[in-house]
Amino acid sequence: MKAAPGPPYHDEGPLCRSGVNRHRPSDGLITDVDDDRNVFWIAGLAPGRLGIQWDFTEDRWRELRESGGSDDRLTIRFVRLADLSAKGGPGTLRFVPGERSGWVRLDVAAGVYAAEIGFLSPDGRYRFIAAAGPAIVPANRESPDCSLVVLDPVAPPPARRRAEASASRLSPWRPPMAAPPPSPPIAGGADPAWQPSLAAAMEIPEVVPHNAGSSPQRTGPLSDACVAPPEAGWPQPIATGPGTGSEEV
Amino acid sequence: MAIAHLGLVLHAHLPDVRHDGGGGLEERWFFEAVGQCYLPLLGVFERLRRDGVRFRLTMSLSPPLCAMLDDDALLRRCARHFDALTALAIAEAERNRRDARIHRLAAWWRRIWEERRGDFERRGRRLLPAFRELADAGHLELIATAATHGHLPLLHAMSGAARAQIRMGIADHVRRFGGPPAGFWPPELAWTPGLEAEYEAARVRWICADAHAVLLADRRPRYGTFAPIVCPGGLVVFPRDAELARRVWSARDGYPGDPWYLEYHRDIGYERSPEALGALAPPAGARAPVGLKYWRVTGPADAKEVYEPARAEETARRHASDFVDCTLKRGERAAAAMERPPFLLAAFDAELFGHWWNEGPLWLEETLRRVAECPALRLTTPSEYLEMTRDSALQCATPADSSWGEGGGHETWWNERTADLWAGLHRAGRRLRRLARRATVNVPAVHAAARHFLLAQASDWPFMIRHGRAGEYGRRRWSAALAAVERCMEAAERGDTDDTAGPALFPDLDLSLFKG
Repeated sequence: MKAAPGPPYHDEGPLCRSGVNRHRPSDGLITDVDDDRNVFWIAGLAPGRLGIQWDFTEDRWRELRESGGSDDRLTIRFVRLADLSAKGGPGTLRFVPGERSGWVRLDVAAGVYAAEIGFLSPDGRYRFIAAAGPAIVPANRESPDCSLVVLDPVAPPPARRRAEASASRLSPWRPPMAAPPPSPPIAGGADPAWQPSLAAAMEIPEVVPHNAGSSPQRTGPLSDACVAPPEAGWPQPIATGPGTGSEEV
Repeated sequence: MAIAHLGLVLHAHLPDVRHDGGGGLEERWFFEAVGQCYLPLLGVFERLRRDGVRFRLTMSLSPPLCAMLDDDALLRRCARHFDALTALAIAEAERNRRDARIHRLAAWWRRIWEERRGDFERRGRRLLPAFRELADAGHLELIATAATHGHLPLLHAMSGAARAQIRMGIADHVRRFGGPPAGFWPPELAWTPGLEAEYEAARVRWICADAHAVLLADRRPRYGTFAPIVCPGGLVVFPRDAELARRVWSARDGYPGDPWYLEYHRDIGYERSPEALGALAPPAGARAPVGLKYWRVTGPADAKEVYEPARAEETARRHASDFVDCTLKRGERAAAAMERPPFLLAAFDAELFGHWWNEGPLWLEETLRRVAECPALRLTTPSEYLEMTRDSALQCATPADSSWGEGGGHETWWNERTADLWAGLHRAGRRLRRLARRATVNVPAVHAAARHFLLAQASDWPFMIRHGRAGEYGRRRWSAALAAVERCMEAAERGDTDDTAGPALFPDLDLSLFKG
């Protein structure tokens, strides 16, 4: 039997109602679960990857399960805020394991995201539990924005205020008017005068190819007490490739 | 005439591994870091200073490490550890009388540990004053780092947690080193947009970041990683140079993997019986390195050849020369296309030098000497570079979410294995925030809870759990810290004044930072 149509799921929950569209939030957009014991949060994991975690108490989970239908499925709805219209939007729904706690990673486009967790009924009704965000998922490629905006770091705008950059191109570098800060004594005479570079070509210099997959790791803890010796060689080999549970969206 | 600038930044950090009464095997991490890294590095800096070599480095010393370097009981145990190592080297030399090569190496280790033990005692077992003195002499620029090495982008999702890490880290730096730091080392070089407001509010002028933080910034960086960028609010971000990092740090082809260098993982702690290891024998059933090694990297196979110190030293000198040549070439090529002198940032964990890479201190010394002799290359701190170029503006952009961990993001610290850890932190943080806002609670207990809460945030615990390196220990320490937070919060709610002992960290803790 076909379920009776309910209200469209995207009309429910604070995330879609808020209709926010902010490029880079500086404060919390959505307060997450407001009691001490239940957790739902999201964060950018890596370029193109979002992490989502929920962890409810036994009591809260039982209450949630008992208040809905047995066919309801635990669902994450996440929205890229830049895609959200003023009237809100549906976001993307993703079923997740119907367990009291869980952690998933999602491969997504770069952007700022918020997410909700709730139960989706067979009739399309979305039962909201909690919301979290914003979280920033970085791009995995260079920005298409090649505009050049400069700022004087000596006299930046007041903290916490976004500057309106003024110039449209880099100011030519000039030697400092005053001597650089005192340096320690140098064997064999004075410090050679510090000079600007010679060329003024405006080409972008060679950029080291980015390969996040082979980014060097920090060192681990000092000697691995109580563990068998790992395989020979230094440093530890870096595991590559995405972890388990990754889902392409 | 300097064409390019090289900035060398060393980050020294260990988690707080102190245990009441001592004896914890993990305390050896601290002993090894003192004996293998910090003492040799101080020796390098002091030799260069004595020889009149011009050098300037930037260094951060984390608050947990500083607390341990100031702990008399721990330092006494450290001295005993050095004694045990010397005794073991003597016994090893005797035991290997019939094998001339191993006998010579054991005697070599004996000489090294006797010298380091003597150096340790000459300093009154205190290393921090030596770092301060080098800073006063202009050779080191000491910068701050987070209070307990918290992973700031992930903590930023918890109201006020990243702010407390930054502010308490800076407060600890001011208390220990007597002045505000110009720069800040973000643990794991981790960054997320939004943190700039916290840094700027704390008056941090600059931070370091990994290369892709800047390369993938919201505006394309005109000079790649050869110049810092500035956030709209004024925070300057210096990107790490990926090529320089690769040469020293790469698992595949970095210098430390050279066949002539000492093989870190072949340690006699894994090979000798507990009786032969004497005082350095680990608890029954456990195996652990002790710090005496006889083999060189040789190659990828398990079969290793005997270490030859002279060949290793020669290799370190060659690698230092290669590093300086590479830096100079990169600097020259960049300078030809730039309107400002290029700045190449080489940033490493200090514990790489001497512990993971036995020849690292020698490589560093040779590198610093060669740079001092190279007129086209100048060793400069980020602060000095900003001062020198203060008449020219920087490109304004916001760096991309990033870290120097695997994959360039935060998954090393937040993943299936560590998710419960973060849920626990979120829970404790909310409850602590509520308590801190209440004026009637037992404040000392809330202070103690806040200290334990900071300890629970150390990025070391999820790192250990993720990589299975001392993972059980990481989980135990994290669980213990969170349990202590809960215990102290319950005591606070009961008005109990008995259970208020917190860890010996942050005597000037500012509880208002935990109000969210």
